[in-house]
Amino acid sequence: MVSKPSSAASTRTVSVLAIVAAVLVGAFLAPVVYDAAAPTPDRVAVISVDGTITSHTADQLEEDLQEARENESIKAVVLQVDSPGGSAAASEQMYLAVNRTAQEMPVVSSVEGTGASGAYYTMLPSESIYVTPSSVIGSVGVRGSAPIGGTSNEIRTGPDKASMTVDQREAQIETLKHAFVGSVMEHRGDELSLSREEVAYAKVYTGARATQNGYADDIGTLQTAIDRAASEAGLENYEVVEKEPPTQSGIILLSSQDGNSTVVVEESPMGYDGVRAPQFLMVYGQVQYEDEVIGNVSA
Amino acid sequence: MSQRNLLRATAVFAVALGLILVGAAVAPYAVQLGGNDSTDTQNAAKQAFNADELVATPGPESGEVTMDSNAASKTVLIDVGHGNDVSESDVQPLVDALVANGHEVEYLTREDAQRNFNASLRRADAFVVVNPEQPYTGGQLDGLRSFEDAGGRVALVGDPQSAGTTSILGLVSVSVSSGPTGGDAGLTSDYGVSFGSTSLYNMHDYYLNYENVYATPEGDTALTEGVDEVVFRDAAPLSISADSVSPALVSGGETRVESIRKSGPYTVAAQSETVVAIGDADFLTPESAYEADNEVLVGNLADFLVSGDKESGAPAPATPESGGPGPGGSAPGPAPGSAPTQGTTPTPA
Repeated sequence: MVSKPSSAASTRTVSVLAIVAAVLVGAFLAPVVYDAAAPTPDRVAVISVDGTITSHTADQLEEDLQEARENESIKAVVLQVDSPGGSAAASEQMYLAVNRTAQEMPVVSSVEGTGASGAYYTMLPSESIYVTPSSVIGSVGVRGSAPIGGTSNEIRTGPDKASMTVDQREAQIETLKHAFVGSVMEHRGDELSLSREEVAYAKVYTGARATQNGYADDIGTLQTAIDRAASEAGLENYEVVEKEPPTQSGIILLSSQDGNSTVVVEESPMGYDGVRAPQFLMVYGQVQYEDEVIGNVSA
Repeated sequence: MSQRNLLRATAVFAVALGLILVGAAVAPYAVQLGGNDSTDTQNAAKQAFNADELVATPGPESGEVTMDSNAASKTVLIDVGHGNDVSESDVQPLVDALVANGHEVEYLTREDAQRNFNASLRRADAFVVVNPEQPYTGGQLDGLRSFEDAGGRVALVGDPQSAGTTSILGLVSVSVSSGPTGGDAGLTSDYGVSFGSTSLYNMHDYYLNYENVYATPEGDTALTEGVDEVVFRDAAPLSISADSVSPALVSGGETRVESIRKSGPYTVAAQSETVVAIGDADFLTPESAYEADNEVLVGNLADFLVSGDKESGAPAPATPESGGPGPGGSAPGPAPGSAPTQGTTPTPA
């Protein structure tokens, strides 16, 4: 007679404990279930192309774009560009990554500063390029240091092992130019009012002029580009997610008297520490190599 | 809980855990079978570029610098005494051709230019000037004029940089005030040809780089005999102002001047009976002498240099009146360790 009330109390205690445990577990699982059950909002990813383009910049952009392609909620990409270009190889890598992304979803670019040379190469596959009137874009060309003579205090297995002839270097740079100019004509040939040879002059244009000659599509801000990208993707309600630009390292930017920026290549991520390998650059502005200077040309 | 229930629960737990772990182990292979991202990326890259359409290839460097002339041994004097931006190796193909055909090549040093200019010219049959960077004195110009009047051959070879600074010829700067057309007056009056100060380029038809322009023969001059096409790297346009001077090589119609972007064609080489002017010095270098028909041009230049029959004794020794620097010019200073022969002003011999 005495054990009955005790058994009932024990049952109640177990029940309470079970409920508490269920609440605790539920507190963890409920958000997951909620997220899984709720419809995912569509997103437009804004990815920065900022500063001098290096292999690090290219790797970061490639990673961001891959994530955009794999994330089903991201329906469009906007490139927020403010860069004078940089390494030719890195610029080419970025162009290829954007080109692939543009085949899967709308990509729109916005230039509110500089979008020159390698940076312009990067945004070529864009559905549209928006600029502000004072933006600077263009500079479709390639540059590189002249070949330096081999040193006599080493033994090499071939005459071109450490250096090359001027002809060979010119042919290499010309080959890179063919790729760059060819890509411009392929992606923007219908919009451009300039011939292939005029593009190859490597001139830069203000945003206002660029909308006239076809280097850019229209005057617009970053928000204009986001709206356009969303529209191209058929989105009415969407979120904007921003990818932070990679941090710069090893590049020193100086301001010269004529207002152009100077990129000091020495010990930069565009090269290799301790090795003076040939540098092919797609960059606009004055470039100072470690022991030689190429004048202030547009490239 | 009974022992039986405990065993059953443990068994179920073990089986479930096992399935999860096996699934985790198999999953990577399943993902790989489904294809991966990098393969597609490679294909996309290949689709973006066609390597065969992109590659630029240097042309063959072939041929030999040969001379047609059977002239008796002549002496060719190459000026390196006016700060000339040229080394002996830069003109090696020309020198080799001359020497191989029995001619003598001498270099006019800075000291000889200052103290024995006319005497040096007197011993020579031809005078070659490449990229001078110091002005010629009035006396030196007088001597050079006498040398040419006596049948001596003169070759003026200059890149745009040199033409823009002291200008080819430095020869110009000593007679600026005497001529009607400014900086080119002296040269124009002396040789009927002047050198432009900025480079030519061609965005449509060029050799590997837009600054390497093609030039083809114009008219019928001995300088271009056997030449179809030459390559000039960093060429200067020439202006001709004398009937006795004829264009010899002309760049293509789409060639432009870098400074004002005005389209051509432009004369890049000219010839009179006694003077050849060429607006590019690179074609003489071993690196460029065998591109296109450059080696034929070098050989023809060598033939021209030995084609004269100069009167002996010219130019005569300079008189004190004609020995000083001309108006507007400045005399090169004495070489370190050497003393001028007359006072402080070097006088050509």
